[in-house]
Amino acid sequence: MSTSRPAGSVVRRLQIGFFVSAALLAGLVAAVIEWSLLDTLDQEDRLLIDGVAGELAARRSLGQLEPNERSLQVVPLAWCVLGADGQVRLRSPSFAELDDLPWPAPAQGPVELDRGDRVWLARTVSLPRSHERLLVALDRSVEMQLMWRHRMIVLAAVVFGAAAALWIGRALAQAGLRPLRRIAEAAAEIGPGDAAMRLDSSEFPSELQEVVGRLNAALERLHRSAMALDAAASDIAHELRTPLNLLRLRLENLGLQQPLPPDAAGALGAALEDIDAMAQILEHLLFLARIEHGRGEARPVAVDAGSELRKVGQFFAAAAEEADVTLDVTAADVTIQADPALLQRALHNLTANALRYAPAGSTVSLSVQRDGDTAVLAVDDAGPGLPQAVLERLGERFVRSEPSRERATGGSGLGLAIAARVAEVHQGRLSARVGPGGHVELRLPVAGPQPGW
Amino acid sequence: MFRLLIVEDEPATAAELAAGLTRAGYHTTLAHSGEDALLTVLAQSFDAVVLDVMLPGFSGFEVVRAMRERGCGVPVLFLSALGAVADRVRGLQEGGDDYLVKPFAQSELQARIAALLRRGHPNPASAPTVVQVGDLTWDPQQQRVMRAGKRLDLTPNELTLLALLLEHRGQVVTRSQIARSVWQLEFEPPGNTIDVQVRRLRTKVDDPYEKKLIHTRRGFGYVIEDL
Repeated sequence: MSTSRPAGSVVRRLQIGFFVSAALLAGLVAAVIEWSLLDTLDQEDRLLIDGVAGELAARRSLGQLEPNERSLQVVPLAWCVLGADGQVRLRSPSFAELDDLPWPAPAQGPVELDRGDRVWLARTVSLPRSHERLLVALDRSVEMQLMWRHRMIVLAAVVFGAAAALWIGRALAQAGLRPLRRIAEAAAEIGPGDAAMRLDSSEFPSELQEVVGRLNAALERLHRSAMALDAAASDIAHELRTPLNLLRLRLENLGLQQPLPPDAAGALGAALEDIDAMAQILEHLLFLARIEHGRGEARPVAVDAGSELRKVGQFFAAAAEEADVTLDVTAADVTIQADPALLQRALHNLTANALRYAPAGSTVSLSVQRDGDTAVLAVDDAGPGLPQAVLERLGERFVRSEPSRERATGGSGLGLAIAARVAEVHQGRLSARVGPGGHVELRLPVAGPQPGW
Repeated sequence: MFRLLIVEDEPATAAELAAGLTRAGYHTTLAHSGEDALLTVLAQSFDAVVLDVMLPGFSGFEVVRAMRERGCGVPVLFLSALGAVADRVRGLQEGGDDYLVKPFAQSELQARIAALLRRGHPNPASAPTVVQVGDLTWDPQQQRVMRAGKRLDLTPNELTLLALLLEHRGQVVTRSQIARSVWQLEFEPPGNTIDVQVRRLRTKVDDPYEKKLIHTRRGFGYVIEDL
């Protein structure tokens, strides 16, 4: 996982593996058959030539050997009888072409002689009584042609078999990987809210039991840590809100008990505002933690998206007027299934952002449109829009347009994260477009299956 | 004088709460555990209970359940560090009457206690009558606001905001009270929108006149009074 380049296709590798092993196996079998056939033929020919030589020698000693020895013509044969002086005494007509070849010594046994166009198995036999030598050669060309034909057929079978292995390997590999795809599909369905989900291991082949088991174990750990995080969020709420509350009570009592000098009263007021700001960040973080774990925040009912937008428009009317911005609400008649409080919260965050960046004299528009099964609630402004860096991390905590933590303009950096979570909990999503001109939209399903709240 | 039982296990918080509520004119009694609270509330007579949810022993939820099972109907205001909707709903289901998340402003606590007490003691005299602060008068029945004899032209939302301030005249109203009462928002709205709304209201109510009636209490909230 450390490199971005995938390690190649498993199907392709299995396919090639099948191909190579099929080719190797078939080739090996073909080679063994070839060797064994050649060896058998060779043995037979040696026995044959020994027999023929014996027969010829016997006839010579009886003086019955004729150049056109008919009785031996079933075998493609050439022979010659040499006298003690090396002169040819007698020979078959076909012997002429074998004259100049290096004939073996009588003790050597049969030897193969290659004449280019024909291959001969040759043997020299001594005829002791007449001090003559008999040269006999057996023509093996026809055998070699048959062997060649056999070799071609085997080769074709090997090539065809290997090609078939390529195809079978692909089909088998794909079939073998199918359960993995099912695991991937099941894993893709696991959202933050359902870490309690497990894969049913009985649905998977035995080889994948370990994978399924480990995935389930990982889910179990995730589930446990999600529960721990949940508990931690409650603990943090209690552990930080309790002292923050005490601090606020103390400062308030200090300010209310007796009149303070103006400087002190101002500092005390600022301190109380700081406490409120801290409490608000804490509230936002806890809200995000709860909503991410799908814990009972959302109570969806059928709401008219247009009237929700108009409420937001009214709430921000004063702020828009003061910023010299025209707030324009365009609402189509779209009913969505949503928790009104969560929806308001998301829309407030988006509208506050838009007003924060809208230049004086411009228009911020809130609109809702129906796009198929989706309600698109959009907030547009004429500001610089969200920079690419923010768009890439849309919905993450503490992502601001400007790097400064200036609260007067930058906000807490949690507004978009909250809007994104609200969209997700309604089975929708938050999306935005790169500037110039701010455009952020909540895409929520118009109607649909009851989501798993 | 109304009698309040304050149940809070953290002694410093309990003391500060008691100090603030005593100054606001309540007679306060302290309890530091769930058992203690239950014994006290059953033995004595109180007009309201301010009850922390996380207590050693019995939790605040269990105290209320035990109270209601024994027929004790004293109104209960929960204080809690847990702010999820589910926590609030549970508090109300267990028999509580209101739920305030820590940290809170004392003015809001007092406003909520006052609301609980009004609910407990319906006062026929508190039917809408004309309210006057300085030279400003508000007639709730006619939805009309006059200042120095001139009618002020307010939008419906500005009127609702002014009515909230007038209803609590002389008392501080916090931003979250405004968000909830005027806009029915269960969350603190982002940015300074509420401040801007009050500022816009002031341009109509205060700016043309010498004497200012709406005052900012920094860190506390807003108050309408004739100083």
